This record gives sequence, C-alpha cells and structure tokens, in this order.
Amino acid sequence: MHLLSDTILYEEVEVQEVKCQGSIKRRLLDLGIIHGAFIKPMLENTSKDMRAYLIKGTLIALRKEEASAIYVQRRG
Amino acid sequence: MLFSKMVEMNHQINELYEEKRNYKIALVGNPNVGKSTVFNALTGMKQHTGNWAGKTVSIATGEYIYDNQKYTMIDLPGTYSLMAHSKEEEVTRDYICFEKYDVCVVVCDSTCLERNLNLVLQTLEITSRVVLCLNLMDEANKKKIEVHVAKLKKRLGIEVVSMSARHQVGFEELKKAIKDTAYKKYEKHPTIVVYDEKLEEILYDMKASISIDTMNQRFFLLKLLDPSIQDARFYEYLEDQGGKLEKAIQKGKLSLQEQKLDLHYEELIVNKINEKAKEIAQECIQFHDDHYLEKDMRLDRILTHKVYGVLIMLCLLSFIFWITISASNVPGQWLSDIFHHIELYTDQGLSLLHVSPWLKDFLTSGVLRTTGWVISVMLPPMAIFFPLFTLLEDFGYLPRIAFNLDRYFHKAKTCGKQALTMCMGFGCNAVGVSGCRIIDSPRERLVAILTNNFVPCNGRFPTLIAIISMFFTGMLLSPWDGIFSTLLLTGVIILGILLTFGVSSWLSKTILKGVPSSFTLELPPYRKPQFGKVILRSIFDRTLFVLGRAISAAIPAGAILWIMANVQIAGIPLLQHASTFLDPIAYVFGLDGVILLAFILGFPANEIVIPIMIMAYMSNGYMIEFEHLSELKALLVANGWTWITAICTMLFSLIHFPCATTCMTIKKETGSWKWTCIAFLLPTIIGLIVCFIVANVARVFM
Repeated sequence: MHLLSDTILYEEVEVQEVKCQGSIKRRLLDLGIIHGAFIKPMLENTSKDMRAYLIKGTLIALRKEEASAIYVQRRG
Repeated sequence: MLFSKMVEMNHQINELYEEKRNYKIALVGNPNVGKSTVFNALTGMKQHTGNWAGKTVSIATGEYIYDNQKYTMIDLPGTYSLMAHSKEEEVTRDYICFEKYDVCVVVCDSTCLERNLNLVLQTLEITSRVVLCLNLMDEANKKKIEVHVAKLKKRLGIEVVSMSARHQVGFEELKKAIKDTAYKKYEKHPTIVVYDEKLEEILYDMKASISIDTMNQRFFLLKLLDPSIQDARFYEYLEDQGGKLEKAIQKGKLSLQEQKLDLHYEELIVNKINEKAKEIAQECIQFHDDHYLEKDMRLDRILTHKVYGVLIMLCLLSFIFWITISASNVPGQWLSDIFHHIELYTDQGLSLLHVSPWLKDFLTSGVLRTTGWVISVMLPPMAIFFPLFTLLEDFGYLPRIAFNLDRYFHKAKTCGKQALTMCMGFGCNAVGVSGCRIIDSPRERLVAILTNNFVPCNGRFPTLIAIISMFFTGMLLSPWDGIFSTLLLTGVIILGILLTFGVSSWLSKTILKGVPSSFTLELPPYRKPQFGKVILRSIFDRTLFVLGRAISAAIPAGAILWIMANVQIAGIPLLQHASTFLDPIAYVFGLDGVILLAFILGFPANEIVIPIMIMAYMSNGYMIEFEHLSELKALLVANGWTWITAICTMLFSLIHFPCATTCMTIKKETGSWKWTCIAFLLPTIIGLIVCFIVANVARVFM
C-alpha cells in the first residue's frame, strides 16, 4: 500500500482505505474517494503542497496532509 | 349547527385549494452545476452565478407561473450530499429533511453524473417527488458523453429532464416535469439502495417496533442510528410514541456495536450509495471519448504551472487594472460634463421657481454636486472592472488562483478557499465577508472575515486611481506612463494581499490559535464565458447595485457636508473646526485633518472620501467643478499635499476600518459585536502604524 501523496503525476491508482476522521473523512467519501475508486494526480502547485486529483470526472485539489491519509494501490 | 359546520367545511376546502395553488419547489444539486442558472431562467431573478463551487451562500426564493399555476422556487446552497459538513450545506440538508415542499429538483452535471447521482439517491430516500435535471448537456455532448435519459428514468422511477440552462434549452420540459411530479400522489418510493445485510436486519427490527409508516421513515431511522449525529429534530420528526422509538433505536445501536458496524457506520452507508450510483452510471452513461478532459488539462498545465502560473495571474490582474485605469478617463469626463449641465439647468430651474438662495445652493452645490462626483468617478471604473472580473469568474479561473496561492494560505495556517473570498472582496468587501461561508472551519472562516478588508474594494479603487493619476503619472513618456501607474496600483493591491497573509498568520498564532484544518477545493471545467450576458449582467446586477448604494450614501453625505461647510461658529465653518481639531493628530500619520475627517465621514461608503476632501478644502464651502484632474491636484497641493501625503492617503485608504455595510455584514456573519469591533480596530490600527512609519521615515529623508 502506498500513500496518495507519494504517487507520481498521471499515475492512476486505486483507493484502499481512507484513514482520517470526522468531517474531512465524510467530505472525501462524498467526493467519491472510497475503497475501490480510481484516482489520478493531474496537477501540482508551485510548492507541491497541493495537488489536483481526477476523481470520477472531477478535478479535486487536496493538500498533502489529506492526501497522505489516503492509502492506495498501484494498478498492475 | 349544520350551517356552521358547512361554513367551516367550505372554509377548509378553500384553504386546501389555496394551499394547492402555490407549489413549493426545492432546488438542490452539487456545487457548480448551474443551479442558480436554472433558478434565474425559471424565475426571472438575478441571482448571481459563477463558475466555482459555493457561489450561492444563502437561500433565494423566486416564483414562476406555469399552466395557470404558481410555483415558488427555493434555491438552496450546493451540497455534495445530505450529510452536511459546512454551515451552508446544513441549510440545504435541514431544508430537504424538515421543511415542507412539493417537489425537489436535483440539478446534476451531466459530465460527471456518477458523482451527482449520490445526491439523487440520498434525496430519493427522503421523498419520491424528485425531478432529476441533467444540466450542462451541451458540455456532455462536446465531451462525447452519452446519457440514456429513458433508461435513467426507468431505473430511478422519477422524471428526468436533460437540459442546457445556459443556452435556454429544456425549460419547457422541466416545467412540465415539475408539474407532473407535483400532481403525483405521495407514495412510497421503491427502495433503490439496499445496505449491508446486518444493517438491513436492524432496520427491519426497528421498523417493526414503531407504528407509523411514513415514506421517509427509512432515511430517518438511518440518521437516528448514525453514531455521529445527535440531532433532536430527527426524533421529533418521527413522533416517538411512548418511548417505543427510543427503545428501538437503543436496541439498534447496541446490535450495531455488537457487530462492530458503528465504527464505520458512515462508510457503510456511503459505500453502498456510491456502489449503486456507479452501477446506475454504468448502465445509463457511455463515454465515447476517453480523452475528453485533455483540452482542459492542457490549459490547466499552463495556468497552474509552477513558474508561469503565478506570473500569468499577476499579468492578468495587472492587465485588468491597466484597462480599468486607461479606459475610464474619457467616459468619466463625459459624465462629469453631463452633471455640470444638469447642475446648471437645475440651478436655473430653481431660480425660476423663486426658491430661496440657500436652499438652491444646498441642493445644487451640496447634494447634486457630491452625487455627480460619485457617479462620474465611480461608474466608469466599475463598469469596466466588474465585467472583466466576471468574465474571469465565468471562465472558471478563480479556483485556480486559490490552487496557485495555497502555499501561502497553508503557511498562514488558513484555508485556501480564502483566496476566493478575497477575490469577491475586490468587488465589495461586504460580499466577500458573506462569501466566507464557503469555509468549513469556524476559526479559518473568522480569519477570512477579519482580513477581507485588506483587499481594496471597488469603492476604494477610484480613490487610489485618482491619487495615482494626480501624483505619480506624467513623470514618464506616454506608453510607460500608463504601465507605471498600473504597476503602482498593482503594487498597492499586492501590499494588501501580503498584509492579508501576514495578519492571517498573526491571528492564527495569537487570538485565533489553531492548526489549518482540511479542505477540498474543486477545480471546475473551464467554460467559455457568455460575453454579452456577462457584460450585461455584471453592469446591471453588480455595478448598478454598488453604485446605487454609493449614491444613497452620497446624497445624505452631500447634505450633511454642505451644512457642515456652511454653518459657522465664530465665523469659521463647522467643517473647518473639525479638521483643525484633527490636524495635529493626522499630521503624525502623514495625513491632515481634512483627510482624516473625510475617512471618518466616509464611513457609510468609501466612495465619498475624495468628494468630502474637496469640499472641505474649498474655502467657499462647496465643490467647484473640475475640468481636469490637474486642477484638483493644484487644489490639493495648495492645501499642503506632498507625495508623502499622497502615499499615506493611499495607504490609509487601503488599510482602514471597513465601511458601514461591511461592518453590518460582519456582525451578521459572526453574530458577535466583539469580532465586529476587532474587524474595525485591527485594520485601523495597522493602517495608522504603517502611515506613521512611512510618513516619519520619508520626512527624515526629505
């Protein structure tokens, strides 16, 4: 298992687990970041502290902290 | 006896009839799917729309007539689900759960329907009277996404309408679908989402133990089982009879705990809904082009590029300011000429009517002249700036600014969405403050509210532009001159932005201590702005709105000023008394008494600061007409203005207390006088400190 924040750009991965609590977890679930969903990092900002990910046809930007709570698996 | 009963019955029938004649339609949807566009087109209202998530911050209501029937439409803030995370989402959830309405229209983005279906499925658990509105069909077509409407209709068992609200396509069908659904009998909707087996068992047991069988019972039972929700209203809704329900819930919760389902309760629910949405999407949607995102991505790679991204942003911003400065001079001159004529005619007209000279002077030189100044100075820059800015907003660029700048917000321990509220502040700080509702964390929302005023609003631009034009242009040759003043103005704005970061960071370390909370930022697809519509809309909605407010402040201000300038005590006008009193204090900060007085009297609206200054400087008590800014400069210089005064005035204009409207909005948003006072004092104190330092350092070197 890898962290979403450690993936390289344009590498599509599959979400395994969302390891955070409270409202942010609910928010991520709402956006479709759940077990089995495909997610692909598309953009990175200047300081690399935020990246935009493609999830179900929508670009969602997440900070590094949130992305490192999402465990993913590389697709073979 | 019988008669009175009949009367009563008749009354009841009438009441029923009356009730039926006005259908209530709730409008929900994910953020940025065009809800407000649908709402505006149906009701003819002018709720402002923009291409970014979180534009609608409060409930708007409008009406329309279809088939001799009145429909009241309620535009609710966008939400991804009915689980509610932020203040604005709570508004939507509460409305959908607890209010009475006849039809719920769920607006969806056809280009990413799968995600949108989550909300549809959740809504269907509450009411069967749902109309699914597939908006942005034109974009879906462009991206070669095919949605099988008939299949979807059958699968969900509700009316489904495909439309393109921006292009006025599909409204007749939508109105018809709403009508058909409103006339539909209330009935239990077939369960679409089936949850985990064990959870279903618990639900079954709970249902057996309560007597009432309402159509949304399932949804409420699910909510009552949720360990993270403690909302008494859900209990009230189901009307607990003799504590049966409470017992059933406790039992249900206990068996959840036994089966260790309570730890992942929400995931349990969301996963199933998501699965169902995926299943339906796979059945009903076909993607004929896998590279449909490529075009947007190419543009995004440039606009959010590590090096060019910020550079392009600065260039765009400067370009807008440059156009605003250079194009507003000529129309400003025209307007000023027109008002000059109006004043002359009014003066002649009043003379013919034998109005007493002082009243005539009061009306023309006091009220009319101040109003004329406000309009001719404010209208041109606003009429240029607002449409340009709205174009950027319509295009979808604003969230990219937030993305590019997030690093600084992160460092200041605040929410990246603050960039969006700052952008709104450029138009009007009051709007920016209420826009802060898009920020989830209360601490970060408060930081954003308190610092919004550091972004100069449209009321302050004219002041800044006028001072720059008077004191800092004409030093260089023609093309460079314009660029120089643009750079100066951009510099002032960048200073404001830097202050925002600095103060936000300071607040995060002191009175609003805390770590940055998490947030997600949606980057919507770029949309080709509808030029004609944007320009018209921004002029009529925003420009005239702000101008109207400025005028309503200018008229009484002009009157008060005239009185202050003409009523004399000991042979000296009141205005002069006040400014002489303030003079020594103001000198310390590089200003003079008149400037300080102008800012104080300009509290209702910042736009009238310069007119007040002019009036106060005129020894004869009213403004003279200026043919050109150079004459105004001559007046200012004659009253002791130097470039230090000019810089300090600009700085104080950037950094001082928010205007009355903004203060009132802050009070409303924070609900506390304490924070309103802090919002008032914080920029004022910082502004005075900055002016003090600049003035005294400059004086040493002079």
